[in-house]
Parts: sequence; C-alpha cells; structure tokens
Amino acid sequence: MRDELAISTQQITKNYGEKRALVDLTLTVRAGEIFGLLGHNGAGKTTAVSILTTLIKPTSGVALINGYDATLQPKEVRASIGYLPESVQFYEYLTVFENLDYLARLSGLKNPRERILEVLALLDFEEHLNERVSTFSKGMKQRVGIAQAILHSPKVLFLDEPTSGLDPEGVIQLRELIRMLNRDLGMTIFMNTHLLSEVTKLCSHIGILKNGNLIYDSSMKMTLESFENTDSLEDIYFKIDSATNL
Amino acid sequence: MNTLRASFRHEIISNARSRSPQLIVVVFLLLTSLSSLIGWLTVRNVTKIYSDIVKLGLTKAPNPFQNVPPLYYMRNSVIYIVLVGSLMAIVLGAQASLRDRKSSADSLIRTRNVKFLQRNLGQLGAIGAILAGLEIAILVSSLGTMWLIEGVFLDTYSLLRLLMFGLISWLLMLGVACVGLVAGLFAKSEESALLYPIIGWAVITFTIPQIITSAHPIAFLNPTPAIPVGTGLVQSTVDLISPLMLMEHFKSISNSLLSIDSNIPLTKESVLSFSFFVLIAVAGTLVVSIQAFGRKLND
Repeated sequence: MRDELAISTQQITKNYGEKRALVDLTLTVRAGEIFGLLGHNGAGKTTAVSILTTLIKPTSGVALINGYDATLQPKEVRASIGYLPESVQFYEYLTVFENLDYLARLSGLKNPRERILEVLALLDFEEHLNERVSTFSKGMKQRVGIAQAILHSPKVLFLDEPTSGLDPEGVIQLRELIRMLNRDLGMTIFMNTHLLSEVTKLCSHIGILKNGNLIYDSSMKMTLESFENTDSLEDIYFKIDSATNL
Repeated sequence: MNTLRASFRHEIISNARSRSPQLIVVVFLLLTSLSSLIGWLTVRNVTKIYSDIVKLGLTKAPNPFQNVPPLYYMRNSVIYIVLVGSLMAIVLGAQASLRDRKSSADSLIRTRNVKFLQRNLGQLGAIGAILAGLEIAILVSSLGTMWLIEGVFLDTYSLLRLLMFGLISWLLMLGVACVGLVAGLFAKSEESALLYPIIGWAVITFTIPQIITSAHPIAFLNPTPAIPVGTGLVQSTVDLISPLMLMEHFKSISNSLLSIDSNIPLTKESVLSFSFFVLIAVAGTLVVSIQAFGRKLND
C-alpha cells in the first residue's frame, strides 16, 4: 500500500493568459503519506490543488490521482478524492445534517443518513447534527468541511490552507483530526499551507513552490537530516527559498 | 432522481428558511387587500353619487359598475405581477445561484460527480413550486377579498379564466426567475447579480414600450397594454423590437383573460413573444447553468 503512488504529476503547467501560475510541476506522493505543499501567497499552491481536484484543467502536463488522469478521467478522480477548500462557509440556513445530506446525495450516496452519523461520530461532532452552520466558529465549520470531504470514503484528501484563520485550539484539534484520518483510515493527505509549524508537526513529505516552480521536494525526515544544523523548518524554508532565484 | 429530489428539497428548505417567499406573500396580500379596499370605496362612492343623481332625475344612464365583468376586479393583480412579482422572481432566481457561491459550496459541488441536469432541474423545479405557491396564495387572497369586500362571486367560466391568468403569471415569473438565476451564476458580486436583471427588467417594462408606443410613462403602470404605433421606417423598427415588450405582451394576454378592456384585441404576436420568452428562459437557463460548470472546469 505504502509503495503505491496516490498522486503523480508530470510537468504540469498552468497559464492564465500571460501569467504562468504553475511551471512544469513534477511530483509524486505515495499512498498513506501526508504531503505538505509550501509556498508564499501566490506561489501556485491553490492552482496545483485545483488541477489535482479536477476544478481546473492544466495548460499542459499530466496529473494522475489514484492512477486516474485528472483531465481525461475526471469522474474516476472525483470518486476517489475528498476536498476541503479554504474558508468553506456552507449553506448558512441549513443544519449540519441538511448540509451533509445534500452534498452526499449530490455525490450519488443513497440514504446517506447512516454514513453521515458514522462520519460525525468519527469526528466527535454528532451532538451538533441538528444545529445550523451559521452559528459555528471557523474551527467547527472546518470539522463539517472534513466531514463532507470524507463522506464517500475517498482515498486521497486535499486540504487547502486547512488551518487558515483558526485559533490555536482549533489548529491543534484539526491537526489531530488530520493525523487520525491518515493513521486510522489510511487516507493520503495533500495539504497546502504557508504555516511551517503545521507542516513540521504533520507532514511526512514536503514540497516548496516558488513563483509556480517546485524548488524543493523531499521527505520530512531527509529534510531535517540535510539541514541538521538549522533550528527550525522556518529557517530551512528561508534557506531554500533564498537560494533559488526565480 | 436522487439528485433531482435532493436539489428540489434543498432549494425549498433554503428559501423557506431565508423567509424571502413569505415576505413576497405578505407584500402581495397587503397589495391585494389595499387594492380591494380602494376598489370597494370607489364603487361605494360612485354608486352613492349615481343614486343621488338618478333620484334628482339628472341621468338615465346605467350605473357604470353594473355591467362590469367580475374578473375586472382582478385587473390590479396584472400590474402587481409585472412590478412586484417580476422583481421578487429576479431575487429568488439570483439567490438560488448566489447561495452556492456565498456558501463556497460551488467548489464542493464541482469536485463531485454531480448530474448537473438533474441538479439544475431540481433547482428550477423548486423555484417553480415556490412561485406556484405564491400564485395560489395571490389568487386565493384575491378571490377572498373580492368575495368579502366587493361581494363578487365567480362562475366556473370566470374561475377557469382566472386559473389561466394564474398560469401565465406563473410562467412570466418563472422566466424572470431564470434570468435572475443566470445573472447570479455569472455576475461578479451579489449587487451586480441583482442590478443587471433589474436594469433589463426596467428596459423591457418601461424603455422599449416607451420607444414604440409613445404612451405616457405613467401608462405603463396601468394593467391595460399599450399599443405600438408607427408607419414606414418607424413601423419597421416597431416590428423589430416589439417582441421585446414582454410585460406589455403579458398585459395583453391578461387583458384578454380578465376582460379588462374589450377594445384591445389579443394579438398572435403577444402570445408568440410571451411563449418564446418563457421557453428560451427555462431551456436557456438549464443549458447555460450546466455549461457554467463546464466553463469553470476549462479555466
């Protein structure tokens, strides 16, 4: 299982008119890994996730997710992934159950009630089943976001800046949740973030994007070993970043 | 069918919780009640003055309200549909697509294998059901006030014509709601999603009829349709753009159904233009809303 490739991209490029958002992105993520894609704002992280989740098509290159081509087999890809976008709000007038029930039925799940209850129990959130989402904090909404993303038992979970805007307690809870999904359910996690502390604590593999180019790609263990005289991932990040002129 | 049902149910619950349809019903009920009250006061005063004049032997003419067809009392509903119903339909339609964007659920939906035809049919079906509910509430309240305040009862034939009026009002509002829905899909902000269709509505309701009928602007607030006028080159322009006088065509059909003014005949052009608008609006919305998701996928 661990040797299987969950994500594999070959020279993905995405242009928006004259602007090159992503340049020849080639990376692999093995099944069962937690991969952290780092980079400044505007580095191309969200573009990369959008291509991998079939939201947009690349200008060129190939992206395989669970062995399926994101451009040619988007249906197969969508069936095998879960996605939590940055700052998801949900339908404010609806309860947690109504939101999840709607999204589950749109995904083709028939009679999803049992599965919703199962997922909410897994996330320790079942007591909020009938509460309206509009009353929730950002952290609670992220939990509902995770719930909707894993309803159809995906193999790979994409998280776009999952800890953005969360208070410290919310960050810790979400981190535990991501760890649990990876450890207990064997999900491969691909997360975009610019919070280096989160990456150190969670990820087994990191990549760094700068101006659309992947300037670093290695396991966390190798990274920490290679930069053993460096105090933190922040220092490592800035060393790599400043050493690359793009 | 699962997707269609889920989408239908979702739209109904979201609308019910946002209380927009309830607000529209209240506005309509207030308008119909007020209109009936004014009508009743008018009839009472005119009849009193008429009786006094008859007693004085000053006239032998019949009471002007004596031979008025019962559906005549529904005439103000025509203008309420044009002015209030259409605007509310724009809001309902725009809200349906803006809701997905505001909740950021559109990206959640687009990363799922959603049957968009079923989803969008469910959404449109729910909007249609809400508008039908509104229409029924309007008709029932109108019948109630006609009976309570004006003492008018409808025979079966009149009732059928009233139901036909309800049907074309529903079709008009559904078509306009579709325009709102499409605007909500493409507009950059909530404000522009409402502004663009409202500007379009104002142009269709006031500007185009003003150009080709030369009627006084206030005339467009009347339930009776304005008639296009012109000769020669002007006539060609009239022929070209008169199909766009959607609200006047609606008034023309309503005029015929409610027997408001028998001097204004129902034209084939009105029926065709109105039917074409509804057909294009509904079918176009389905196609465009499905394409909208495809377009984003090809960004």
